Amino acid sequence: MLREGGAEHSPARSGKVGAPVPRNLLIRAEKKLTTTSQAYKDNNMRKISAHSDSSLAGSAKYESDLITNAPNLITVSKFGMVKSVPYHVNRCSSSTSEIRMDLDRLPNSVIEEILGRLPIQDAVRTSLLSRSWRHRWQSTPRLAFNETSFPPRLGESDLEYKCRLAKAVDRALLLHTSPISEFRLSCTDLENWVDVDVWLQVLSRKGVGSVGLCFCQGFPYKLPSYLFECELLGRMELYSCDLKLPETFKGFRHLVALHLERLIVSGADLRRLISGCPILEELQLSQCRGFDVTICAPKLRKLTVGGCFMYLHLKHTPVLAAASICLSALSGLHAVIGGYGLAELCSAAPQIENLVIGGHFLTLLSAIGHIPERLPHALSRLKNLTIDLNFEDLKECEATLCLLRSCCSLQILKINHQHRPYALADTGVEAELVWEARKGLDEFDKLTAVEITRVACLGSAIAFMRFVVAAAANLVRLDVGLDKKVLDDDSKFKEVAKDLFMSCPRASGQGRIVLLD
Amino acid sequence: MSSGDSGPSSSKQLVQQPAAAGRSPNQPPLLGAGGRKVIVLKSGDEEEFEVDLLDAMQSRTLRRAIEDGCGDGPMPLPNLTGPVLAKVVELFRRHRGDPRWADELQETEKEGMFKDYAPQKPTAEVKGFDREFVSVDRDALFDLLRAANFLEAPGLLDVTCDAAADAVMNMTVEEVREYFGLVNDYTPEEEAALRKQHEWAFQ
Repeated sequence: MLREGGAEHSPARSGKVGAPVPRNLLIRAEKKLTTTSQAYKDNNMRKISAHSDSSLAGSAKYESDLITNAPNLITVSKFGMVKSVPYHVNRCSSSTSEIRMDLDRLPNSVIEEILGRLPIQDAVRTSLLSRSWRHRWQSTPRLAFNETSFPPRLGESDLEYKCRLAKAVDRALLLHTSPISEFRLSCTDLENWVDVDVWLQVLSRKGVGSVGLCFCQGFPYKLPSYLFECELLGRMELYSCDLKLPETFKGFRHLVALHLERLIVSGADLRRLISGCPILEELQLSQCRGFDVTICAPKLRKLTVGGCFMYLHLKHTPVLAAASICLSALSGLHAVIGGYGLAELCSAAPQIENLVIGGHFLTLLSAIGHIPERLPHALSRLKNLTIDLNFEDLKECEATLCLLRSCCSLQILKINHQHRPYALADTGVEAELVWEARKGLDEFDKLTAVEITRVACLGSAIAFMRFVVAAAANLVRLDVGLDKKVLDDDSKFKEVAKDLFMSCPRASGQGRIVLLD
Repeated sequence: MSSGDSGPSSSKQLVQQPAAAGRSPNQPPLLGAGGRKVIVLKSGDEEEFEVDLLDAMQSRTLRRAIEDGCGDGPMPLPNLTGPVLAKVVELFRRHRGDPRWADELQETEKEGMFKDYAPQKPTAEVKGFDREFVSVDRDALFDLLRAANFLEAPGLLDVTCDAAADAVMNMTVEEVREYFGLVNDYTPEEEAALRKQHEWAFQ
C-alpha cells in the first residue's frame, strides 16, 4: 500500500480520511444535471443515442461526453419527465466491442477523483495516459512527498534520493498551475535547506491551505519568514523545526489546526503564534520541552499536550471539548509556584467532554494548596475521563475524588495506576481512607464503564473499586488490570478482591467485574 | 454484471420487507420499524428496497428528489441494478450518523426530520465493512463507482475511489490505460519525450 505512510507524520492521507468530496467535483456534477435536463426537455436523447449507434461511433470525444452525462439524464427521468431511458439499450445496441468497452468507462470526473488520490509519483505518470491527461496532474490540489508517495529507487544512494526528491518538488511546484490546498514534505533531511525556503516562498504566493513539514534527522529546520506570510493557511503541522516568529507576523486568520512536535520555540513566540490564530480549533504540542505555554484560543475545541513544560496555563478556552494533557516528571516547577491547580484548569474549560490527565499532570494539579470537596464550577458535560493516578498518594486521590464529584454526566472512567518514583511521602493508608468517605455522590448515576489498569497496590485500589461499585447505580462493567511486574500472582488479588466485594454494598444490580489479562 | 460476486446472499437479506404496493402518491412516507420514515427505491430490474430516510440522505441525488416531493412512491433508479442497489443501501445503513454529511443535514433540516441523527465517527467495525465492501473485481467496483457518481454520495464515492486508487497504484502507464479503458493518442516520439521530461517520476 503506497499511501499508508510510515509514521503519523508522513502520510499523504492524513486529514483526508473522511474528508468530503471536493466541492468543485460536486458543483460540476450539478451543472451537468441542469444542462442535460434541458437537453432532455428538448427530447434530444433519442437523437443522441441514435447518433452514437451509427455515424459517431468513431468519435471518442462525443461518446465519452455521452457516457459522462448518461447517468444524469436518467436522474431527470426518475422525476417522471421522461419514461424510458436508453442507457442500457445503448449498451446492448452498440455493435463493435470498442464502443462497448468505452461505455464501460467511468465518467471522467470519477477517474479524476481516483487519480487525484494517487501519490505524487503515480499522479505524474498519468500525464502519459493520453493527451487529455497530459496536464491534469498539474492541477492536483494535494502534493505530498514522503517515502511512500515518492519511494527511493532500487540501489539509489541516500544522496541520489535526496537530489531526486529536491528536483521532484522543484518540478512539481514549477509546473503546478492551480492553487495548492495541501503540501506535505517528509524526509530524513535534505542536502540543501535553501530549497525548502524557496518552496515555502512559492507556496505562500500560491495561497497554500495546509502545510506539513517533517524532517526527522539532523538539525531542526529553521523556518523561513515566508511561512508566516501564508495568510490562507488553514492547517500547519511541523515536526522538528526551529520556529522564530518574525516581527511582522500578522497572524493566521484562517488557521484551524496547528500541530507542533519537537519544536524549538520560545514561550513568547508560541503565545503570539497561538493568539494570532483567532479561529484555531485544534492544537497539538507533542514532545516539546522547556517553554511556558499560555493558551488563549476562544474557538479551541481539541487540545493535545505532551512533553515537559515549565508552565501550562489555559487562559481562555471557553469551548474546549477534548483535552489530553500528559506531562513528564520534570515539568511544571512554575505551575506549582503559579498556583495553577485543578480548579483553575477546570474553570477554564467548562464545556469539556473528554479529558485525559496523563503522566505527572495530576501530581502538579494537586500539589498546591487545599483541595476542595467539589470544584467551584461543575463539569456538567464531561463524559469520558482518563486519569494517570498514583493510588498511594493522598493528594492525588483527593483531587480525583473532587473531580468525580464535580462531573455528574460522567459515563466512562479510566484510571491507570501510575507509580511515581519521586513521590515525597508514602501516604497509602490515608489515601485508602479517602475512598472510604464516600459522601456527596448522589449524581453518579450515568457512569456505566470503569476501567482500572496497572493495579500494583492492593489497599487503596481495592478501596477505590468498592467505592465505585457502591456509588454507581448503573455500572455495567468494571474492568481491572493488574500490573504483572508487581503482582505476578493474581490469585492473591482475586482472594482479597473476592472477600472485599462479597461484603461490599453494590449500587448496580447488573454490574460485572472483569479481571483483564 | 458481476457486482454480486462479493455476496449476493448477504445483500438479499437487506431487502427489508417488500414495499406496500398501491399507495396513492399523496400518502406520507412509509413508517418503518419504530415509526421511522422510510422511502422505497426501485432498481432498474424492478427490485424494491426500503431505506431509512436518514440513510437515504447520504445521497445528494436522493435528498434532492425527496425535497422535491418524490419520496412518496417507489423511486425508480433505472441505471442501478438490484445487486448494486442492495450493496449501496447496506453501506448507507452502516454509515448512519457519519459526521461527513452532518453539516449538509443541518442545512436541509426541516420539521425535525432528522432528530434521530447523532453524528458518530465510523467505528472499526464500519471500517472493516468498508474494506469488505470494496473487495470486489474491477467491473463490480466500476458499477459501485458509477452508482456513487449518480447518487452523489460522498461516503460511497470516498470508499470506492480509495479502492480504485489502491488498485491502480504501482501499475504501469499501460496497465492504468487498460484499467480505465483509455486510448493512447500520443505518437511514440511524443511519449518518449514526455517520459524523459518526467524522468524523476519513473522507477
